[in-house]
Amino acid sequence: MNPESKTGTVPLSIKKHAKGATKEAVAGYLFAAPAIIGFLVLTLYPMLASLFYSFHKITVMSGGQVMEWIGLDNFRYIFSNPGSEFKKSMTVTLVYAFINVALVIGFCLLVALLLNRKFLGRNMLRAVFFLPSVIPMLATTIVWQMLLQNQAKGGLVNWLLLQLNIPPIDFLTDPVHIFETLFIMSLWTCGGTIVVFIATLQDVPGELLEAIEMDGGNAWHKFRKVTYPTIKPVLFFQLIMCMMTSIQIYTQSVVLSRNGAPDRMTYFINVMIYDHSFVQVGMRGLASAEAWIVFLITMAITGILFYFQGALKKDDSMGTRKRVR
Amino acid sequence: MDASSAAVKYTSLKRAKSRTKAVKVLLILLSFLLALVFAFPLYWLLRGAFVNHAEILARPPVFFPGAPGFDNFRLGLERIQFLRQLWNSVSIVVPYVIGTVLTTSFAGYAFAKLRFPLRGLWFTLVISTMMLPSAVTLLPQYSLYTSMGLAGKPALIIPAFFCAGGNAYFVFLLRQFFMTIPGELSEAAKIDGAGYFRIYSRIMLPLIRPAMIVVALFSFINCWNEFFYTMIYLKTEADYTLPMGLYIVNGMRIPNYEQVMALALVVTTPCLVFFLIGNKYFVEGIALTGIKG
Repeated sequence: MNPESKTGTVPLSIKKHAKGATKEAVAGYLFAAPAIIGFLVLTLYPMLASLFYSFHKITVMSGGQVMEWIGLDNFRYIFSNPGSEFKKSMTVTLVYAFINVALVIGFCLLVALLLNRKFLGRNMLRAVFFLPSVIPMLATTIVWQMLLQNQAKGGLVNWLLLQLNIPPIDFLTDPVHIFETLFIMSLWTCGGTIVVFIATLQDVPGELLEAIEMDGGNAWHKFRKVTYPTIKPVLFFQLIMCMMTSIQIYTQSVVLSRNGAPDRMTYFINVMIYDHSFVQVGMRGLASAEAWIVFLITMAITGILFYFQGALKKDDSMGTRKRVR
Repeated sequence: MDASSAAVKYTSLKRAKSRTKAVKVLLILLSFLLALVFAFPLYWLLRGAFVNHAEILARPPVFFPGAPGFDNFRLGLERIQFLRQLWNSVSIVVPYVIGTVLTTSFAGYAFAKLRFPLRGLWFTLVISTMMLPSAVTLLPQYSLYTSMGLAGKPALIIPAFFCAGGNAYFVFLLRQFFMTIPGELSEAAKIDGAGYFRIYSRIMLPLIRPAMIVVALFSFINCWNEFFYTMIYLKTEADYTLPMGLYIVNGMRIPNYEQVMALALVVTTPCLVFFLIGNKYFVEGIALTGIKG
């Protein structure tokens, strides 16, 4: 009623409000706790521990691990010792990853564009393309192994080649052809990306496509000016995710060959780090150093991709403005 | 002259139109052909599981098994400890899926609907684990689990309860879903005196049920197909999951391909069944995780 009591109520309501906000903050932290604890304990701590390990020589004894500080020796070994397996492994992994990403993204985009037009049976086709991506990679590898091995062992593809008078291809034992096998399997299981692209293509403004058609533009013009700018953020995200999964290829390699045969061409990073960590003795420090270099390289690649995305974005936003005018 | 040029233009337009129509039909044909190529390996898996030992290597190849039977399955299953491995797989998958659905929806709700200090930072950190190569955390995680006596099945299940092991993807997906729910709904409930957990369980969860189904299906598939971590944590044959049993049989000196194919089909079947049940949810879920700009 009097001014004093009025000023008395204001802080009270603020207090009440503040109390509500605190309550919400507590609830927020409680709900997010599993994710936050998970990040701290299962990601951040292991990453730092891994970095710490990488400066050590670790010997596994019956009682546990014995750690001996050796400074940068692991890193020195990786880069300058000819016996180091890292360089070859990283090279084949990156070569595989870059080609694979280009193939997968290009192929998925093409299939998505094919399936983007409306026709009878489109949904069924979508299911067919998606289905292989849910079956275990292990089963996928075994089936394709059956299809691609030499025809005496029942390989169908080589038998077909024989019928066509084409010399058989050593898909599984030749150091170069083995990559064809890996790419085929990778394309066969990329249905998820196809589905994402199809969903994204639905957002492409039809009026703009028609406008370009009226102006006499061809399919390429339509793609370059309208479709591509619309799907670019999704394309970019898929590119990065595909890069991450490609770098971490494991199952295909160990099912198709032991120790990365032929000629260590499939001795990918994850296979090598698994070996150094759990199969070979006394290499855990080295494995940690290798893992950290892999981490830095993937960060660099992601950073470069982000940079390019940014650079292209500037260019495109200008283009959009022009078009609107 | 004017009229004739117009006529020429008209016929050329007509020709162009019929040409684009032909191109369209051709493209659709191409799609079907490609789909056929995609479906073939699955058919080959099915065929491989039902042909007999002579037929699997026969030249020319046998496309349809002469006398399809379940012998390959019987013999294949005898080569692994089937019931034991099935139980191992199931006993890992079930808690894994429950943990994933629970904790990712908690986190999704918190990051979408609740205001708390550093929310944006925590969200970014949790989501960024999607882009972390698993090799970096491998050894310390292994030591951590070992020192706590959890290196084994628990090590494969625990990450699901902490939105780890690739589950950050689901946090992101569910957050997107929670964001679409209007704030008025929870405001009204709050005025009625409901607490945050009540709002989450009674109002939010029923509304995002399709998304929860998506997460459950995906985490089932992910966990069932997991191979890298099972290789690391499951050391004794008694603990092996079905995929590991299949891996062992496939790597044997005398693999008997028809039995391997039968086993591969057995390992694949749950995924196929879940795919058929949840095709719609799968496709929607995947489309949503594409991160729309």
